[in-house]
Amino acid sequence: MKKRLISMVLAAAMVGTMMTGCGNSSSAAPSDAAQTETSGNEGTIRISQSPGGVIDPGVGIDCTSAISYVNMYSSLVVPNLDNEPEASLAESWDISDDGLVYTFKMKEAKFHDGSDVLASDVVFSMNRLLTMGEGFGYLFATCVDEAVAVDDHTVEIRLKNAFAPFLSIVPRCYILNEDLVMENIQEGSYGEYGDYGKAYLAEHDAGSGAYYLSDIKTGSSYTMTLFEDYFEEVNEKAPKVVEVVQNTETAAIRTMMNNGELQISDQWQTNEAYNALDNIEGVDVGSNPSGQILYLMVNTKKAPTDDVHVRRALAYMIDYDQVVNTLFPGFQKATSSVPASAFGYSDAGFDYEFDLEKAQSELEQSQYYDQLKSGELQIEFEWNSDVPDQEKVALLVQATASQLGIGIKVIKAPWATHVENCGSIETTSNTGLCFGAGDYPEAGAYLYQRFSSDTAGTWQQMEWLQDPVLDEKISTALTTIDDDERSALYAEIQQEVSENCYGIPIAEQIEKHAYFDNITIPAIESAEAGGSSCILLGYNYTFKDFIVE
Amino acid sequence: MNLKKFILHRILLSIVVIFGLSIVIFTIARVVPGDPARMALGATATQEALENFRAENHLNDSLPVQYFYWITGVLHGDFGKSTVTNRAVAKDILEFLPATIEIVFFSTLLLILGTIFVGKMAAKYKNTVIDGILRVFSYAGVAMPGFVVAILLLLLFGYVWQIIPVFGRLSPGINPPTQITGLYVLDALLTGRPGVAWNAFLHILIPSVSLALGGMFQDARLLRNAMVENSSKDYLAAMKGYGVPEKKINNKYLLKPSLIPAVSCMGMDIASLMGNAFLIETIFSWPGISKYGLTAMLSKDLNAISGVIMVFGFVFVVVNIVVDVVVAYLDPRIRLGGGN
Repeated sequence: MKKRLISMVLAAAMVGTMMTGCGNSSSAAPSDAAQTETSGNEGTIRISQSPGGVIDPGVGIDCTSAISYVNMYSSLVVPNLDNEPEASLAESWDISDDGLVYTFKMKEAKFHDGSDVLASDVVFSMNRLLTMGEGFGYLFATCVDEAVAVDDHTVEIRLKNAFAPFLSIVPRCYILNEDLVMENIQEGSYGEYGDYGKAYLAEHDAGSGAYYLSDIKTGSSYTMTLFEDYFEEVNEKAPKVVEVVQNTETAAIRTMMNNGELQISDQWQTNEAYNALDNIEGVDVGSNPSGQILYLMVNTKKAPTDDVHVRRALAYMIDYDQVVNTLFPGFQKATSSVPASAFGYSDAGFDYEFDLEKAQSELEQSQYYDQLKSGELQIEFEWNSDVPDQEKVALLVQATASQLGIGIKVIKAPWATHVENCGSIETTSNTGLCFGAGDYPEAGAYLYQRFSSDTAGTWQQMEWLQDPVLDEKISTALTTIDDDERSALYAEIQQEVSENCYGIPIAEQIEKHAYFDNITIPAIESAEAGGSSCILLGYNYTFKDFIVE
Repeated sequence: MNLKKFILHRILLSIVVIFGLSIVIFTIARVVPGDPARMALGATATQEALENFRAENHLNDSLPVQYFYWITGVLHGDFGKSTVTNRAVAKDILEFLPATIEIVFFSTLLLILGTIFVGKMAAKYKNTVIDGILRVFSYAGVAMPGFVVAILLLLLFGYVWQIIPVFGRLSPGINPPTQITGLYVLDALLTGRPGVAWNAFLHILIPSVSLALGGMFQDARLLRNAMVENSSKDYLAAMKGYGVPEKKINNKYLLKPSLIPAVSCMGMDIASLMGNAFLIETIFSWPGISKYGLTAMLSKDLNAISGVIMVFGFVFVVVNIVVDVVVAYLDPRIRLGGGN
């Protein structure tokens, strides 16, 4: 009897399993029983992004993090799709004649807990950035002296020295709810501010943005829900709920999009993967310039790339057309270390094309020519294994160099190893592929990151220039208030770095996304209509402007 | 030595092992190249922030002093703060561990049941077509890395046939059950939500199969070989002669001694499931501790690395004790001191 009962239970379980197995695609969706217990799934879009990323606006600088900041927090000004600063929390602003004091009049706005956004919150947020010195804090650390609340809705930001692109970095000061943060501080190293709310803000938001944090699964995803009392206009067809899933694994992304579990893919898929996603019914692939440049960074302090002729030879060895047409379809050939859409861009001094004759001629002028030809010296070429397509560029250059009898040693390195390798001149490879983005949409951001002594020894600069004269030129440009003068100074620097071949800008990244055709992404729509898109990381993902039909 | 003394002896030895492991892990995590402050705060962090971080984490002190601070915290349940999540490592472990335990639990079940089933089948039908087919599957299972199996199963069941959900722990839109144990299937059942339990179970299927398959086939081969070897022993022939039913002979007198090598191997496999789960967790977006550990290692998150490895070490030690006890139960010679 007992055996018969067990047999019946097992048989029922088998039948149940088989019925599940034989079901159609709907079986992958929540079962009826489960759906009755759901939180509702209407108006939700899911977008994949890289793992990592934090939602505390004082800590992270990567894209996954930036997406949370631009949606959950407000700033005094934000960039528009033309990369110009636009009023957001600020109603208006005045700049003193000497460029040292910025006075912002603020709009009435509410935080997600219903309290008012006040000038004191701006002061608190700025002080938090300056004190912690993490995340985007470094943008303000060198130029901001102090922030002062003049009254509840007026705030003054006083600079130590004139910093011409200041309005372009103001978006990176995300306004925190001071009372909420201070209610939740824990023991820490910031005196009366404890941990400055770092533990709390790792899992909660304290912002006034168009979306509030409704769920977070640390390391896996975070979910944002539309905030009804947001102070600015929100597209009536904007998604009500957005879940950012931190997974870019190709098979998972393809499966999720195929099952309708993911609506917008990340920008890190391979070209083959985008083609596969494009074949899914209802899915389109769109693109927009991201403001990122694929650089071949070059160590100028290590043989043989300490010789300008070797660097120039490398620049002539790269088959740019092959890169932008075949390896990274849709990318555009770079013509400067600065993207073409950034203020202050200039292609002066950049005349590098794929030309093996010129490459040979440069090599012959090099002091290392014999050693390179004999194979005694090889040029190290490091690529980031987290971006598989980079290997193709490495192999392409290796193949081209072999035609000239030059050896290229291709080195595969995960990102963490690459970052570590960049820590000293000896461990920094001769060359390395890396994407670089500006912290604000102006040439100064790129020139500072790529060539200032401050960034030597970081992944942003394998060149190890440490050139005080160049530092001074960059600094002078950044403190020149007049736009025309500043632009001319930027052009001069770009010419110098191009002629000396301090790194080789290969291509401007065109960021691709696969997404369902019922979704309109403003940045992609603008770019495809011949307009521009925002090159400040994260600002092409302001979901309040998206349309979901 | 009786079984109780044997267990006590193993536990005491394990405490020494865990203490040794804590020193090794702590040292290795700190002596590998790279500035943990720079890795934690990023390339753009100010010098002041870096100094602050080093002071807060005692990174300017000597290694023994650092170890003292750390082990004192650990003994009070405080593994320090993770620089990846900005939370207490203990909190991270409590959040991520149940997800991995759930997947490992189902993998373990599959590993044990599958090993016995496949091993017995192969032994029963030795040198026949069935044995040959199982051998092919075994070799394929052993040769193929878990992540390849995972991607194949994911594409097959999730993409082509679309019959099993393959992402995360629950389908989108389903609220997780109220946390009791952190194991979704169990929590959903305990809170009376069978639909959610079923959905959670479906999510576990492919990751746990991917994780278990390699070890299962390897252990099944061991069991098969042991059973084939033991089947020609005299005591079994005598039993047959006395008319003991064949089923009883196979399940009790042949299987039990044949399990000993497979159980030892299974123990190692089960203990290493947690460590091997990181690729599976990455592929299936499974919010488990292995993935967390991997992220910690890539980010040189010292406290998280040490915390996660201590947890893995603890699990490894516990599983080994269990295996030793099971083997001692199966083979009295072991608990009696090597057959003396």
